[in-house]
Amino acid sequence: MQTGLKLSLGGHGALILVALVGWPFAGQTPPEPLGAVDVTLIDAAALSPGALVDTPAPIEAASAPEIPAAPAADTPPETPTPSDPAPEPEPLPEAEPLPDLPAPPPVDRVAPVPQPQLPEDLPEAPERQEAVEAVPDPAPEAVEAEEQEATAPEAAAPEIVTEATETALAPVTVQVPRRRPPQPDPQPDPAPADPAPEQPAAQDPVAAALAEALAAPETEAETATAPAASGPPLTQGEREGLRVAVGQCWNFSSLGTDAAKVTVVVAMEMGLDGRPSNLRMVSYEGGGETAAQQAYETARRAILRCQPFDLPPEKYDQWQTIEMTFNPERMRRK
Amino acid sequence: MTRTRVLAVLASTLLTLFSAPLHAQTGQGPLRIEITEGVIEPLPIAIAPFVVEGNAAPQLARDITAVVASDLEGSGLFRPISETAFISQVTNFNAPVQYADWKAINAQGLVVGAVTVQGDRITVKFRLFDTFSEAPLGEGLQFTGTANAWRRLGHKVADQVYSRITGEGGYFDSRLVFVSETGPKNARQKRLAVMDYDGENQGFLTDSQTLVLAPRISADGSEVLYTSYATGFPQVTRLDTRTLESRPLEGQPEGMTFSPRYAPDGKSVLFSMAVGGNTDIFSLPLSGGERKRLTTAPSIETAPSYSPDGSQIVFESDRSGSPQLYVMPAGGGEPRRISFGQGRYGTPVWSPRGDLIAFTKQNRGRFHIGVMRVDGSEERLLTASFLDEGPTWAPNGRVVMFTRETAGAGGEPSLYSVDITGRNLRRVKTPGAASDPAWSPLLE
Repeated sequence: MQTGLKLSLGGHGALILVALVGWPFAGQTPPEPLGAVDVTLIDAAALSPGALVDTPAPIEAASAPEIPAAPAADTPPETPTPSDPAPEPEPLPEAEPLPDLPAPPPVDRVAPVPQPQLPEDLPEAPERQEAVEAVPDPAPEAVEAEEQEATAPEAAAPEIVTEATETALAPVTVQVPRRRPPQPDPQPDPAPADPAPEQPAAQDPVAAALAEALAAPETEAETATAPAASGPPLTQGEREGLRVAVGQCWNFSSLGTDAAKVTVVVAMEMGLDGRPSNLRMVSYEGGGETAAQQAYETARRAILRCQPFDLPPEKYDQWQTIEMTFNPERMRRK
Repeated sequence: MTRTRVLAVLASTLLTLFSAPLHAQTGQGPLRIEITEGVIEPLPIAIAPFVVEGNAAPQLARDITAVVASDLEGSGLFRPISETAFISQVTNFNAPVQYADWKAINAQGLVVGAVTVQGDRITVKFRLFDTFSEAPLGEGLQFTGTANAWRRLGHKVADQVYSRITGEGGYFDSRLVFVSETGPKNARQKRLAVMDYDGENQGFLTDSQTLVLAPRISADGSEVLYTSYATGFPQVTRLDTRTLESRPLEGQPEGMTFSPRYAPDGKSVLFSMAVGGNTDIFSLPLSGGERKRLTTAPSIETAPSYSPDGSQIVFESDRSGSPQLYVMPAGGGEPRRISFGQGRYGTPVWSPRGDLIAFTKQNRGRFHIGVMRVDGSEERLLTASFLDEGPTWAPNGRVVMFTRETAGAGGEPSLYSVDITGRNLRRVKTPGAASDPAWSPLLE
């Protein structure tokens, strides 16, 4: 009876916990077993090279009948001009099909056309290479931070003006310098610091849930002791800085067609150091669950890549929880 | 020990219970911001050279790795990071991933693989990691094939990586049927040819004696339909890709038939027939049965293409005075015009996803490949040139391939592909001039 009660209590407790915490790991990569799964290819399938090897050597070119080369593939031949068809259609070459020959000697079956080096001229290489070279040595944050500086003011400026004109209540301190130091230094050990909240989730949901629940009160304590809970709101510039910082890491190109239509809202808790934790998708619209998951993963990648965020610590109260809406509408039209 | 765990769970539950309302009272509510601007650039991904296991040849592992990298890079959505930038090397397939090393070079994904050879069989296994989340993305997989299928093994891996990151199916393990062209423009020889989607493993299906046009490949790849001029007239012809035997499509009417297209289930075909200046669309069951005339207007109706569910047909008709696109029920019926822009529209093809129709458009002396939604809205031109025509869809409905012909007496057709966003226009490698591509479904 004792054991039964314990089990029951434990089970219900866990259930309530899940309900309260809101299944925080739902949006994250499920803990996959790493075992390799066997998938076997069908080898000599239809159209596998083997089936096609045997083309007859090019047959005499002269006998080709004078047939008007119809221009477009599918346009109807308005005037057929069946100019005296070839004497004997002589159906296709019976030439030894060898259906089971495994691999064809790859090339050299092509007529004596000088093989142009086709794909060489595609203009991709230079800039990408350069990007790669640029990255390796400095910590990625350094690179990112630099870029942010370049674009942030530009994007932010017009917004500030708008804001100032439309809300008279906006604090006059709009010009507050948005500190954006190159910030290679904030935490010398970026790796170990942040994975903690997320990683355990992938391995042991229960343990992580516990840690989460136990950690929560601490945050509350901080809140309680934090100065003036109603500190000044973030300036438009500060918000814009955050928007730009995340946007620069939000790589839209690898989103699938469906995922590119989904707007996701991602919530996170922020540490004073500007590092987010407990990322989760709180809502989505514009597509199905799978597409939303993909959109969320891309959004999460953006947040994790661009952290830590440069937000004023004295206003921590304002940004200790953030909800970011990733709206792809404008990007989709680019 | 059980007791402590139970207590811990209870305690945490209680804590959460109490803390939640507390938060609601003292907290400010979350800071809400909206991100509307991102970047569009290929996703940097690290493809570690596949590990050689057992007695596999190192060169084979390198070649397969190169196929994976080439596929992903060619999609325009990924940028494989140069190996020279790698900080850590992967020498053991099962070794823990040093995420920091990959994050440091901004690799957002990491592909780790290994190659094993046993007799004539090659096994390729791989894992994909999301470096910034520090977690595997999907589970490890392995593919086995015969030695001559090694490129396909690479394509299979690339398809998996592509679809896990983008959320849509891949298209790398697929083939193309096309018309290979040689000789001068006024005496062009055309042969049906087949190759991997990336231009490798090329072979011919017909000789150069007969003019051939517009091949289509069946869903299982066992057969090709095309228009042959063997009799002097265009005639829809079937070709068995295993035996290379071809014969005219049975049951088609006497006359000029062309522009064939398979039904999605492969059990019937659509084609056009021209009689005295009037061209109409017919359907014909492949297993024998009555052909059905689907259009009766005194105008030219041609280039039919089924929707992927087989319920509708999009085609081209000049009933309004100029060629435009129309959609009708698969069994025939009143067509609904969907193209209303300027210019002439032709060769519509329904996307395998069902959401878009690709077409050729001619306007003010330029040719375009474009896409529109199936109701005709959101028309978008993807290309423009002297002559672009005849789109065909990649199996995942994300990429369109077409024929581009250059101007002048020395002008030659070649194959190009473009993403449906209009980005990533690329010339497809072919051994010589090529036209009329038809993309196969993903191979099994």
